[in-house]
Formats: sequence, C-alpha cells, structure tokens
Amino acid sequence: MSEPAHPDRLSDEQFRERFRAWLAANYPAELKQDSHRPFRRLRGDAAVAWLRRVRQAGWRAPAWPREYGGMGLSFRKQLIYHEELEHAGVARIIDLGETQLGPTLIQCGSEAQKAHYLPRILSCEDVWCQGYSEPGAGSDLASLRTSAVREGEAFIVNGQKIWTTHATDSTHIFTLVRTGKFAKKQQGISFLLIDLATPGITVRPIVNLAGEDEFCEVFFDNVRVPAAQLVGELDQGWTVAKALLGYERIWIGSPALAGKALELARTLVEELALTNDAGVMDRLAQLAADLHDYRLLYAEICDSIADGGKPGPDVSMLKVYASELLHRLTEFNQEVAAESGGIVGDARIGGALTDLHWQFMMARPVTIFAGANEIQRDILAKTVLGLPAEASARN
Amino acid sequence: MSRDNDDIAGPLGDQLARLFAKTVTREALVAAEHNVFDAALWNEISEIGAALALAAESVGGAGLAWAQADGLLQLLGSQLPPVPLGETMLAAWVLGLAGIEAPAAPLAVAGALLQIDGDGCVSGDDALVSWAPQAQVIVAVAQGAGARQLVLLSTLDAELTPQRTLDRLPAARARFRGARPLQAVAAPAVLGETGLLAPLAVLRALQLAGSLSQVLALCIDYANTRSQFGKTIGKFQAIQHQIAELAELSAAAQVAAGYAARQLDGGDAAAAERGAAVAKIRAAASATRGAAIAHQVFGAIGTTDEHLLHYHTRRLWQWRDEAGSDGWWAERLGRQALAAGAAALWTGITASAP
Ligand SMILES: Cc1cc2nc3c(=O)[nH]c(=O)nc-3n(C[C@H](O)[C@H](O)[C@H](O)COP(=O)(O)OP(=O)(O)OC[C@H]3O[C@@H](n4cnc5c(N)ncnc54)[C@H](O)[C@@H]3O)c2cc1C
Repeated sequence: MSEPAHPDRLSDEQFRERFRAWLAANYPAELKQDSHRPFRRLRGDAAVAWLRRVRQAGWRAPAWPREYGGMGLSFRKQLIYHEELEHAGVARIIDLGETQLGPTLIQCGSEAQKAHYLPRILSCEDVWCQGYSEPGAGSDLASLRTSAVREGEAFIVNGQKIWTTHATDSTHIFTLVRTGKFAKKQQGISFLLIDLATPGITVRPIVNLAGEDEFCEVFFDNVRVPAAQLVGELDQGWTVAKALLGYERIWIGSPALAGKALELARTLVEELALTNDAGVMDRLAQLAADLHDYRLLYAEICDSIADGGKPGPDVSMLKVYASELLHRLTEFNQEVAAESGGIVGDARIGGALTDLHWQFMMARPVTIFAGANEIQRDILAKTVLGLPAEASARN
Repeated sequence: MSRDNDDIAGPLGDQLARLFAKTVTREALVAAEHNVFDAALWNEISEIGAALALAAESVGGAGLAWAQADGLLQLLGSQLPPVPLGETMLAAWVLGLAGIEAPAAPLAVAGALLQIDGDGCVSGDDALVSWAPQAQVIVAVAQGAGARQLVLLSTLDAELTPQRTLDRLPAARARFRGARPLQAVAAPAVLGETGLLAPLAVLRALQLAGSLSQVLALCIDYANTRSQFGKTIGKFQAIQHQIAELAELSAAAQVAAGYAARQLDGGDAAAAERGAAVAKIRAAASATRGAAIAHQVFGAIGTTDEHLLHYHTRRLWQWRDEAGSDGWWAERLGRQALAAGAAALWTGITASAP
C-alpha cells in the first residue's frame, strides 16, 4: 500500500507517486474541487473526519518534525505534497492548529505546551482559530488593546477580537494580548492560548456578504487564563507571532486557487461557445499567461527556500500577485457568463453545472486578509527595494 | 419635451430624494430582499407622479426627456429604492411614444426580443426579467413578419422561473408560449433591432452611475473616519490614489450614461443603440473596478452583511451583467464599426452629439 512510512528514503518522484496514489484511493469524489465548486472548502465535522483519515494513514502535518508526530518532510517534498493536493482536487481546509500554532509552539513553546497541545492538534481534538485583529487594530495590529493582567497564577483577559475565522467551529483561540505599555507598541504584546469554553467568553458569528457565517467576534469579560498558557516570554508575543509569517505568506501565495479558477474559465468559454470571440480569448490568454508566469515565480522562490534559504520580505510579492490574479480570474468568470453571472447558487452553463457567485464572493477578501495588499506593497517598497519610509507613516 | 420641463425635473428629483432618504432604510432594503413588496413606498411614488415622469403628456405623463430625468434616474442607483421605478418609468415612456397610457401598476421590462405570430400570439424566452415575480404586466417587443410590435403581457400568461440573483431582488426567467398580449401596437421608431434591450441598458447605466457616485461618497467618508497607524487611512496615498481612480470611474460612467440618455431622446434607433452600447460598456467597466476599490478601502468591515456597502456593490455586479453585458455590447459595437468602414469611424466618434 501507499504508506509514507519513510519519506526520507523515497526520491521526490517516488514520494509524489505514493501520495498521489493514496489520495486517488482515499479522497471522497463528492468532496473534490471541480468546475461546480472550484474553491471548495471543508469545515467543521467534514474537515475533522478527513483530517483524521489523513492522520491514520500517516500523511498528517507534512512540515512538522517527526518527533512531534509530523512527517518531517523537506521543503521540496512539502511543495510536492501541496501540488498533489491541488492535483487531486482536495478541498481547502483552514487548519490553523497545524499550519500556524503547531509550528509556533515547536519553535517557541514550553515542553509542557508541546506535550499537551501538539498531539491534540494532530488528532483534531482541539481546533484552533486566530485571535489577532480587533475593531481598532486591523492593518495596525500592534495597536491592539485586549488586555491580560497577571493575577496570581492566571491572566485576567478583557477585550474583544474580531474577524476570527471559524471561531464557532473551534475549541481554542491563540491570541495576541496587551500585557504591558512601552514606548514601542510592538512591545508589551503577549501570545496567549485560550480555551474557548472558559467562562466569560462570548462568540458572535458575523454573516459575510455571501450570506455565510464565516468569521466571528469574540468577547472576553474577565476571562481567567492559567499563566502557563503564555507562549514565549512575557511582552514578546509580537516576535513569537512574526516568527512564522514568511512561511504563512508562502502557503497563502500558492497558485492552486488561481489554477482552479482558470480551469473554470476554460470550461465557461467552451460551454458558452466563445472560442471564436477574439476579445474573450485575448483576455483568457492573458490570464493563462499571467498564471503561468506566476507559477514560475512561485517555484523560483520556493526553490530558493528548498535549497536552504529562509523566506524573505520578497514573499509579499506572492501574496499581492496571487490575490490580484484571483480577483481578475473570478471577475472574468462572472463577466463572460453575462446574465448567468448574477445568479446566486447553482446555474447550468451549457453542459456545466457551476456556482459563479460563490467563487466570486470567496475571492473578494483575499486582497484584504493576511496583510492587506497596500501593506504588502509598503513592505516591498521599503524592505525589498530600499525606498525611504514615509515620515511617520508607521510607528 | 420642452426646456420648461427642467423646472419639473428639479423639484421632482428633490421630492424623490427626500422620500428615499426617509423610507429607504436598512429594514426596507432587507424586507425587499425577502420578497416583501414595499407597497407604501410605491404609493407615495405614484402620488408624486414619478412613475409617469418620462411618459408623454398626451397619455397623462410629465413628458420629461431622458436627459432631463438623468438626475432622478441616477437616484435609483444612489439611494436604491427597492421598487421597479426605473422599469416602470421606461415602460411608461415607450408606451407613451406608442400612444398608450401605462397601467397604473409596477411594470417589468423584458429586454429580450420575443416573437409574435400571425394570430397575434407571443412566444419566446427572456433569461432574466427583474421584478417579474412581483409585477402583473411585462412590457416587451416582439418581432412579427416584418414589423416589430410593442406588447403588454400578463405575468399570468408567462411561465416564470424565479431566479436568485446577486441583488437579492425579485427576478425570473420568463417563458412565453403563444401568449395573447393584453395590448399590441407597432413598436416606436426609436426601438431598433435590439428592441427594449437598448433603453434597458441605458437605465442600468444610469443606475450604475448613480450607485458609483454614492459608493464614492461612502469611501471618502470612511477614509476620513477610519484610523490606523495614528491617522485616518485617507492620509495614505495608496488609499487616496484608489479613491481618486474611483472618482474618475464614476465620472466616466455619468458622462457615458448622460450621452446615452440624449441619444434616446433623439429618437433615432441606430444612435440610441450606439449610445446604449457605449454607456453600458463604460458603466460596467467602472462598476467592476469601482466595486473592487470600494471593498479594498473598507477592509474587513465592508465584507460583512451588516455593513451597507454591499447593497451597492452587489447591485453594481448585478446591473453590470444585466441588459447585455459589456462584452456583449462591445462585440456588437465593434462589428458595427467594422461594417461602417474606416472612413466612418472618426466622424462617428467626433460628430457633435446632441
Ligand atoms: C475573510 C477574512 C478573514 C479574516 N480572518 C481573520 C482571523 O481569523 N483572525 C484575525 O485575527 N483576523 C482575521 N481577519 C482580519 C484581517 O487580518 C484584517 O482585515 C486586515 O488586517 C486588515 O484590517 P482591517 O480590515 O481593519 O482594514 P484597515 O486596516 O482598516 O484598512 C482599510 C484600508 O486601509 C488600508 N491601509 C491601512 N493602513 C495603511 C497604510 N499604512 N498604508 C496604506 N494603506 C493602508 C488598507 O490596506 C485597507 O485598504 C480576516 C479578514 C477577512 C476579510
């Protein structure tokens, strides 16, 4: 059978074949991304059920070291892993425990935190969401105000988080909270792990413009959090949170979604018999060429990391390009469908069943979250290109 | 259609603006999206006489030209009254041109060209007729042997398949199979080969222009209010540039929609269709980019159902796709330009428009 058992002993290509075969045999056909739902996503019970199956077969947590229960893959094999997920049409899962908190704990957590939380993330016993943003602290995250005051062996947390994706599906939240006041506002922030079942926490779902309850507000009213839930040093949470940002931007920059959107674009153009329409074909060709270029850029940056480099500030380029390409692709899909582009829910276009509204709406916020594109361009200008900082623009 | 009518258009617009400001609340918008017809609002509109603003005086209308009503038609996009006022005004206008008094009721307009047979029965499909589920009458143009007929059709004689659309307002696919019209007359000369699609496209362009101007106002207001990094985000050039671009897009849509309105008033079918094409292409392109800018300025809060922004942006996306998408009109305009030949292009573009 296709077990990953010792991926180190497999060549990259052997590894690819094994994983591909395993996905083909195990991923449920009805959950695949296709022209109906190109950005299909699993959440809640469906996500947990699939992740448990992945774990049983030994394919969980490709980036985590083996000693913590992960696969310990080289960066190159991680890339292959993600390519195969895309190839097989496996739905996206926002599993912040695996992709964000786990690696953070492995790098900055105490032995007790690692021993307690990491296995529970792998088994999906704990499901984590990210509590960083606040109503007054979006792009300017360091101005966050939710406070944690030490009282004996606990912190007392008061304040509010917002835009917390899938908080209603989660058991725990990792937060940035204010523990001290310093001249530099990035100081005095701490990284705190909080069980959402703790008394004093209220979670209120927020409906988005597609009518889905995707994100939430989380209120903290005198919430007692054991002091042992602090990750890293007191007041050093900013550094803890930043440690993995580069890797996050790499995975967010993946061309997978844009690839699915382009497949849909091709299907639409064929089904609508627009292949003789020069204007439409010109735009489609431009999009295809841009995606092709982008895949090369992505591969180049990933290769340099696979060869031992670390993600640098230039990964902001990935986020900007991938998100704007996704905007253009989903706009194209909606526009070529003309009258059908305004239909909400399933629509039959020629022989294809698709949901243009959903793909369009899912793509709207990508230029906003995980560092708005204006902020990413700021980073590119200052850190990569060395252009001077605007006086007092950032503090 | 005299100049004196400017004296009517102004006060009528003011009255409507005040009415909409008072009645088009968030609750009203939400109710309309749950299929509740706002009869109270419709009655007030009827009392003001707005539904017949474009209809000829001879059939009881105010006889305003489209160009004169430009401002009040844009109110439909800037203030979003959730009733088919634009459609009804358009229908009453075209019926008036044919000498028919419009039924005193909300009317729907089918943009697709239908067929009418020798017995006077109408068949054909329209993929999407806004407001059809709540209107009793659909106004359409049907092609007969030779002549085109303007027809009034009862929605009872249509096979309606309700559609869920981005704007969440009532809409349906309408199918007619040998429906006998309530009334049929020769279609007025201003309606060309594309029938009612051209004036419907002009109406959508005017609504898009109105909505864009309101979205611009919302963005300016938010940029001057929302603070990050110790200053209002409107102080960041990245935001200023985007809002400036939005202002350009909004202005371009207004100019194009106003041009199209004047072409409709001119009465020539070919010119009216060209105006519709220009306006719909321009306004749709402004809508796509304009909505993206607005959402970028607003950040996460703009992606929530609780915020008002999406009542505009969803309509921008919806109206953009309706009454001929920009791609469809661009293809048609391009083919006509090619058919007219190289010599006609420059004079066509630079001819002093009315
Ligand atoms: C779908 C979605 C899911 C999210 N999930 C989570 C989550 O799970 N957990 C979490 O903590 N957060 C989450 N967020 C929040 C996200 O991180 C913030 O939306 C983001 O940081 C931007 O903040 P804001 O929305 O308050 O916009 P603002 O910061 O108010 O920005 C508004 C506009 O101003 C611009 N701007 C701001 N500062 C500058 C500047 N210095 N220069 C130029 N332009 C500037 C921005 O780019 C943007 O265009 C999510 C957001 C979305 C939309």
